[in-house]
Amino acid sequence: MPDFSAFLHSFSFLLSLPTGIFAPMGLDWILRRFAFALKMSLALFCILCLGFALSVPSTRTSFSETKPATQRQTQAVLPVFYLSFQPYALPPAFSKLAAGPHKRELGKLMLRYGQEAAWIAWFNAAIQKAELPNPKTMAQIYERPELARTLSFLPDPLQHLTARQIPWQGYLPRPAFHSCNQFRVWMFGRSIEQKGLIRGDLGFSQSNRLPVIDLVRDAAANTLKFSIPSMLLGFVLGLLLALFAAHRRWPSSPFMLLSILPSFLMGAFVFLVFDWGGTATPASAAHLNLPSFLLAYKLPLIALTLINTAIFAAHHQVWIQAETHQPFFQTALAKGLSPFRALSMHALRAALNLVVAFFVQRLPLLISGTVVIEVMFGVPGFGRLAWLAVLENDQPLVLGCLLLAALFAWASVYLHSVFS
Amino acid sequence: MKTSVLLSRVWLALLFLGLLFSWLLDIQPGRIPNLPNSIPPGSAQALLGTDHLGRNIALGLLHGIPSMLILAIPALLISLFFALTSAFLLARNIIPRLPILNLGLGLVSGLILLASLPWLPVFPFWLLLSLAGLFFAACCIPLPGPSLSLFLPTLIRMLQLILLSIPGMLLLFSINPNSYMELIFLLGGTSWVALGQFSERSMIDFFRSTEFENVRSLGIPMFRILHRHLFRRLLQTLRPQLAWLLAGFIVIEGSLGYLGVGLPSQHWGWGQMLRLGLLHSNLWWCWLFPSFCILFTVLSVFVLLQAGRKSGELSTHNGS
Repeated sequence: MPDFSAFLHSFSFLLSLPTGIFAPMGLDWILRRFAFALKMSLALFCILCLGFALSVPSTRTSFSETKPATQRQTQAVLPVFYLSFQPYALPPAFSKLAAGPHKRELGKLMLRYGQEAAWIAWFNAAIQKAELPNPKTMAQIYERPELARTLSFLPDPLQHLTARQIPWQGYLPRPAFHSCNQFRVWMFGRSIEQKGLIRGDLGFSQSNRLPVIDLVRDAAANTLKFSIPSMLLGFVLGLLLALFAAHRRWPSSPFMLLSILPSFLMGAFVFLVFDWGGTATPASAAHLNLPSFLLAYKLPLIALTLINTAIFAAHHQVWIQAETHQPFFQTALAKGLSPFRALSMHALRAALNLVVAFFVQRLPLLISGTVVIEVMFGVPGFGRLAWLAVLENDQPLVLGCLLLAALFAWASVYLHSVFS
Repeated sequence: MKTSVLLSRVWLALLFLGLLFSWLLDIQPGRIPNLPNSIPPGSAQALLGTDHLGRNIALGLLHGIPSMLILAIPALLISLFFALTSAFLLARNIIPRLPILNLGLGLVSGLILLASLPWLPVFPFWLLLSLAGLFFAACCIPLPGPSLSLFLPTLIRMLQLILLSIPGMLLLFSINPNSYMELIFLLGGTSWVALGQFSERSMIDFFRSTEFENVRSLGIPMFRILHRHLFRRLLQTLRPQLAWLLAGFIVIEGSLGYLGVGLPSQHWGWGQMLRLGLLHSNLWWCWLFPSFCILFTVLSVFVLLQAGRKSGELSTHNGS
């Protein structure tokens, strides 16, 4: 973080002269918080940009493979972002053309032969009449101008256009601003049907024919129904185990080893040990209340609780044992406190900051850390939804899941930085 | 020597032997014909049995070794490179400028950036080139004043913040890499943050230590200080972190194989064998042997690197 202290001191001194209410430390604190919030907002913007970059339709299909109606529907005819850089010779109208091999070849032709407006008019007319030549043919015209005069489909003015060349202009860059672009439509929407991400519109799932936001919301609710109890149970059990292990001076390696076990191995262990009668899981969890849900999906709950317990116990034990070497702990023992009481009252209290920060750090895993367990036990949750979306190549649904998980993680990082 | 360390060494030696055999014999599990389905282990035809399609379990396990190592070790090296580079760039404000080292770092980082980001086709190639150039310039040019010199650390911290906020598994799902190279760069390029933060703290501690002041006052060149003092010490302190990361990559490879997504189509690993084995749980050998392989590999890596850290601490303590 930049050190604003000297600047702030003089600035706040000036401010405090008339009113006396801007204490230097107070303003410094406010500005630091503001800078931190600004940094987090920038990170959020970058995350949204990444989500958008992965969802841009023009990157998935080339121009020649999609119909104009599809291009309009997927916003492929719009420029990608507010700002773009293009060679000076290309006019702003060029950026409104859909990306693809045709556009690339057209740009090269315009850079070589100039008269851009005529080229674009010819291009649009050719699209309307469905007479657009092959990109390879356009590339040949670029290489051999005399070919343009022999091809019958080229209009007369165009044959004259290829007579002169202006190659040097192509090397001058020019920024272009686009008020209506794909990012804006994706983020803020354009119509009643397209509300934009800011109003919760993540598009339609291709496989389920339902709004992505509805699917993700229901699945996340199901995930949270068993991930929150397992996280809380794991935290409490892990803390108790860590205290007990620190009291007995056990090495931390066994918990560490358990904590790095793959979740699918832990799931397989639970599946083979606890699933005696072949527990049948319900096909839908929509009608189940919380106790019924937990009863129906007890196996994933057990597996996730075991994983969380091992992870929390491993970390808590290390931190609590580190505090036992401090003088205050020795003093507490010397005063006659029992070791367990000294551990729980003093060592744990001293390590509490790290304990809470670690708990907050693991909060994003409530949503995104249960993929394998959900797939393994058939829980209709968030991770399984993302997995099914990948298998069915449902890109809007995958990106919806990614964005929601990323926003959740972003909030957790913010909280973690506040706590730590 | 402790038994666990000995066992870990034996297991890893077996893995590397298996890797050699797998490469020399060009083992493909699908190419073993005419074996009966579901043979239990111990038979002469298939030592560890066959699965429900008649595929040899032992050969499948051998074939899974290169898939795992090809993914985990390069990804670990890329993570280490990113972590050390970011840590050095963040910690370098407190040491004298090193133009040649900065030049090299900038060049290599720019090339890696260029190689790893073409899957974002929204940005044209020249923009990536400009970004790499900017990064390169920021590394090389001594920036005047505190505000400008804060640009690069702010950029790196922002990148760390973004990478911390994106769940790795879901990012892999979204990108769905088609080749090992993409997957390796994705894994390595998104997993270095914790390692980088740890390295940065260690580097700052070293640059502020009396040891650094002493060797500087003796007139030892900066390269030699970095090579003989800083990086040796760093590799010792980074061992547990590297153990976590390597074990994490092995787990991720197994998890992706288990889920059947996010891996190239030619991939065949222990995770896939475990998934198919659990579908036919009455054939216990189909899920038991892959489970043991994954378990032993993860535990061996962890035990060995932990043991290395302890011995390193001991030798440093004795040496001092």
